[in-house]
Amino acid sequence: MEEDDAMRRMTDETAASEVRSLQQAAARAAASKRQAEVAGVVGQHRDLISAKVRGNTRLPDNLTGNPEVRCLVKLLPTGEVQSVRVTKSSGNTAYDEAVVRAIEKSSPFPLPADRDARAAFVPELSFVHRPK
Amino acid sequence: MLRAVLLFPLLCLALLSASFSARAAMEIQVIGGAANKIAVAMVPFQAAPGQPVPALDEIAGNDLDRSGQFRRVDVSGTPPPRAPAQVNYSIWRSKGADALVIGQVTTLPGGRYEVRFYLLDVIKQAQLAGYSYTISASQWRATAHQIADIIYEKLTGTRGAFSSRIAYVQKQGKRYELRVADADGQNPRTVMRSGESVISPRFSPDGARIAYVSFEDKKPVVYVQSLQNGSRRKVAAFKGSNSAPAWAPDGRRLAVVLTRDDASQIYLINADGSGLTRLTRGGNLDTEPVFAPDGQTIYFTSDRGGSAQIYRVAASGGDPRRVTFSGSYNVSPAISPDGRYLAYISREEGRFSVVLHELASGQTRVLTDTARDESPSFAPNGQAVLYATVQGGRGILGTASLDGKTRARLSESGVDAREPAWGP
Amino acid sequence: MNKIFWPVLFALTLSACGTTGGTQATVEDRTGGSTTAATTATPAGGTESTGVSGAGVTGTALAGDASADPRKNPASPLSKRSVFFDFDSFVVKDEYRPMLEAHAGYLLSKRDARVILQGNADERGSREYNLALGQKRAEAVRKALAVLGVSDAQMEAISFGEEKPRNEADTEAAYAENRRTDVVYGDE
Repeated sequence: MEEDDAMRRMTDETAASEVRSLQQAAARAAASKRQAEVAGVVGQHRDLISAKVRGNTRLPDNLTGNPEVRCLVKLLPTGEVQSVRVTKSSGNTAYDEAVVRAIEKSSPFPLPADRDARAAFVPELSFVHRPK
Repeated sequence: MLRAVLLFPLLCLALLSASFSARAAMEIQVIGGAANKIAVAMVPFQAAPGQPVPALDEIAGNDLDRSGQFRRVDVSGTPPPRAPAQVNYSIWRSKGADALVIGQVTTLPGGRYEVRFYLLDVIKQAQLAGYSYTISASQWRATAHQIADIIYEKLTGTRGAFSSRIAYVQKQGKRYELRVADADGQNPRTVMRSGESVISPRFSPDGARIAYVSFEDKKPVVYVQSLQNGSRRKVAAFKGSNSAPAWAPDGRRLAVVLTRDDASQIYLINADGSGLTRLTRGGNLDTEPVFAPDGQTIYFTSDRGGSAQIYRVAASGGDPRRVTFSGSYNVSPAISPDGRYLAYISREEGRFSVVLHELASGQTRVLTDTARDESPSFAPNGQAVLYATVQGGRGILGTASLDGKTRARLSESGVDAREPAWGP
Repeated sequence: MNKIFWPVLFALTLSACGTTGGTQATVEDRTGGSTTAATTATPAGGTESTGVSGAGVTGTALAGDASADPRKNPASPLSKRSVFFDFDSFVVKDEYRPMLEAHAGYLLSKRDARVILQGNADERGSREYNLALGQKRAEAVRKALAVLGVSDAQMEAISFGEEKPRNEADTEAAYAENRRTDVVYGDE
């Protein structure tokens, strides 16, 4: 009977371990599903913000080449732009100004309603703007 | 066990969040710009009840519209502010305005007026410009053009050209009038009348004189007339035809086309008629000279290659080089003030259109959709081209923006206008 | 902001100095000072006043008196005054040879006579370019007369371009009528 007992215990333990690994797999699946969901929402809003800024950008006429402007934007959780700082100038003041202006004009940014997805945007965003 | 099951997803989320907040701020890429017009709200200027409120905002607004660089924001349904302190920026922001123009007019004793205007940045909530003018009743239009120039310069970074003038020839029956008008075609003044044709008016670089070709002597003769006192002199009245005057940038010399020695050839002559030198040679037809802004190069039309094309030659002489190659009729060159563009008339399938040609790249763009275009000339700020065309059998004047997207008609109805030239 | 204080530009229209078809220059004041009227009146060109020298009496030929002036005789090739050109062409066609020979003969016989060859162009395209095209047509006739012995001093080739169309219609037939050179005598 000892063997029986031992046998039963083993079976119990195996069952428990199987349950455990099943539960873990489910949790992992849920988490990666959630992660994908959040990433999707983040990507979608990243495109929305990019499109809004692009729509408000008026490129200066005197642009030559394809210079890049980099900006750091401080955002409130509401999507309102608190400040814009040029971190890398294009070398063309008019273009730098046009980019800053477009970002300011695009305030408030369309942020996701989902708190976790929104966390990706707040409190700071970095912008790279190229003419083409 | 249970704890582990619960903790795991939380941990994942925490890691997920951490992965966003821990690294540098998320990067958003923006490629290009889709906005091509600045949205301006022009609020009608305010005045005390019963006092005149001229359409300053309308005249200035029309100037801005013609440039093609602006979109006007509907200002109806909003209480008009008179001073920056009264502006509720969020209202204008929600209307999509980039900039707001407000102003007021106060009647002063002695038939004078004070005009105050403010240009406000709606996005930055800041004043960009504020000016006060004391004017007489005859200066409404000039004031409105000045206001448009300031708005244009502050918002685009390029100086405005709305206070500049244009010249053109108006034909009524058998009478010809050389006229000088505001850049919007309004406020025309006749500076010369004749029973014979007048063509090719050209402002001197300082705008104080005008050169033109008059047929009053029963042949084409080049005159230069003072716009200050109306006095004039014949600058080129040689045997044969004298035509196509073009000012050198220093205002001291002109290029002209003479036939005294040969077929139509280009010569240089001092503005007082002295110092004639011949520039082009050969039995071909050379005409329509125009100086590049640096004064070193002259562009002109020639049939030396078998068809009418545009060439350039050093103002000091030498061998001309061909500039236009496509088509069989490219004439009437004009050079932008920055020397970057050539505008000319090109015939394609029987249609005469204004073409813009970037000299560095050779790229061309048709600016007009009419079929009888002539005489292109650039605005003093280089942002638009003035030209003549025919609509309904009558000559009219028009402007086109350099992207060809905005065209405006200038002439008053009922006149036959031709041979326009944009001056300083 | 100085500009705005300029008095608004105005122009004074001065009365024409009597000559029909004359030209007036008008005055524009941008200085704010008093306007000084300066004008240049030019008589309608081409019509040179014929002065009478000494006490001599000059008889004027009556219209229709063919014997007085062969150039006015409809039967004479001298009454033909226009040379027409094909589109984009500057070649004097053979059919004009008798006419040009007659004019050359007249000019050779009257060394004080002067002739103006007025070239014209149709209205399509640039006015200045058309002026130059008209000039080419005038030069073509001038050269044809020179070949026939006429002295350069007796001839002047000028162009009206598209400014004096004989036919103002917008048709091919009208254009053809406007592509021509007119032979006009200095005393006409």
